Amino acid sequence: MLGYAIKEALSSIKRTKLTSLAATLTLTICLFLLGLFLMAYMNVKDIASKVRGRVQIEAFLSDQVDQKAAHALAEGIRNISAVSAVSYVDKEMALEIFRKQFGDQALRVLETNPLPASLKIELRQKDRTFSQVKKISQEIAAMPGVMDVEYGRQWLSKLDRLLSGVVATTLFLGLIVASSSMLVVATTIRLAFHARKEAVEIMTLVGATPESIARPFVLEGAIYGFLGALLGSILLLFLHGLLSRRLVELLFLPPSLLMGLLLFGALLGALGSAISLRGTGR
Amino acid sequence: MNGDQVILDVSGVSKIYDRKHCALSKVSFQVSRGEFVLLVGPCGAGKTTLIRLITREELPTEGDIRVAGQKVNSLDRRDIPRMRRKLGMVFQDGKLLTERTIFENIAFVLRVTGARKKEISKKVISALTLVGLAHKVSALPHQLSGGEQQRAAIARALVNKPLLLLADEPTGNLDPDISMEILNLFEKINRFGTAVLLATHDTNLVRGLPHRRVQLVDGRMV
Repeated sequence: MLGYAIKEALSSIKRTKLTSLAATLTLTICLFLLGLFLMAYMNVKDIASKVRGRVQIEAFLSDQVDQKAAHALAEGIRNISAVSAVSYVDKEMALEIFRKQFGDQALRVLETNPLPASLKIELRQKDRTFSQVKKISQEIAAMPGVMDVEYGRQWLSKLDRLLSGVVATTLFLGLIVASSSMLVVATTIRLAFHARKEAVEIMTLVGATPESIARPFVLEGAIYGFLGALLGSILLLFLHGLLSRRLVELLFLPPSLLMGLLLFGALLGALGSAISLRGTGR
Repeated sequence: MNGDQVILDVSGVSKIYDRKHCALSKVSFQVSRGEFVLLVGPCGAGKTTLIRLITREELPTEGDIRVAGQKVNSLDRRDIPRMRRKLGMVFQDGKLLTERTIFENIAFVLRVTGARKKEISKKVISALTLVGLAHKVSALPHQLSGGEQQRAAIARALVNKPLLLLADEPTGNLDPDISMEILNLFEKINRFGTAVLLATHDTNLVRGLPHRRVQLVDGRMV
């Protein structure tokens, strides 16, 4: 039965070469766009996770806080569940760091060390989002002895916005791609169905089940979807190579996601076809 | 008449379109196993409508139709294909698929009903031999004469070994000599045991035939 369905699907594609080509190319563009946004999402996510690796909170302590009190404060902060490590930087170490970064000149005029001692707080990877960092910073800022809290407020929120923007666009595009692909397949299969209306009518009268009549058409839709996804992936691979050589090294879709894209294409095709055949099998 | 012997039972069947046009009115008759029944009447008498009701392409407005004891008009949609496999259909225009060979035209009936490959070749050749077309197995329909095309259509209707062969004006497009040939073919098939219900408006063609007639005029039996 399946062999028959495959043969029928292929002969239908051959019979309607131009429409089949148009459907496959439209699906190629749709699935290429989806793949492109998946790739963009992967790359932005990769950059984001690298940047997040450097996220830390710095709590500046007032001069009244001595070393013992600072260690007690550090212990208190360590108890916050999102915190993975706390290190104490005393006034002298702060001065040393400052000197290394800006040289001696800037501090020479002052007689005393103006730099405060601080606690450098690192968070667990999954808590390095803007909202979480902000919440923990506020918690630490409210602790006695903490003068001020510093974290990459500006860029962290920008990064989060960019990431959720890419996710939303990918999802939105996925929806558009899915529905337009199904529409293209549905229209193509409608045409194929009408081209074979007489055959379908005879099949119905000789006692073919609606499922066995629909099978070759659904398969035909799945073939368009699969071919579209395959060609779209090849196009994407080509673009990836071009960008990586000319502009910047980019990540490509991993094999599992690539397979997923091919299956998604085939599924869209089959679904589009099934939708267009609803109620025609009799 | 023994119930088991009745292949087709049409009982009080009416078909009214758009609540006013009456295509069939209280038609009742039976066809027994191995019987040859002629359904005669002028064009528009309701012959095609009746055949469409038997094959469950349409539903009667009232009355019941049974094929081999199974009530056709109350069948579940899923059971319609199985019922249709008990019937063989021959149409006026043959309805062969133009881009397929004669072999393919007949084989696809078996394929869609799930037959095995080995079986298919054997059955197709045997059906084509019965209608005298075994030598045209790889021809395309347009390479055949009108009579030969209708023979191929009859082979397609027979290949599933139906209980009842329904023929709707099978000689409508053929000249008298060829029509007679086709009619003789139906007689031959009937002698092999298949019941036949043949609808025709051509009273000259069936004049003198010994078979029972169901005569329709304006949707009524006369």
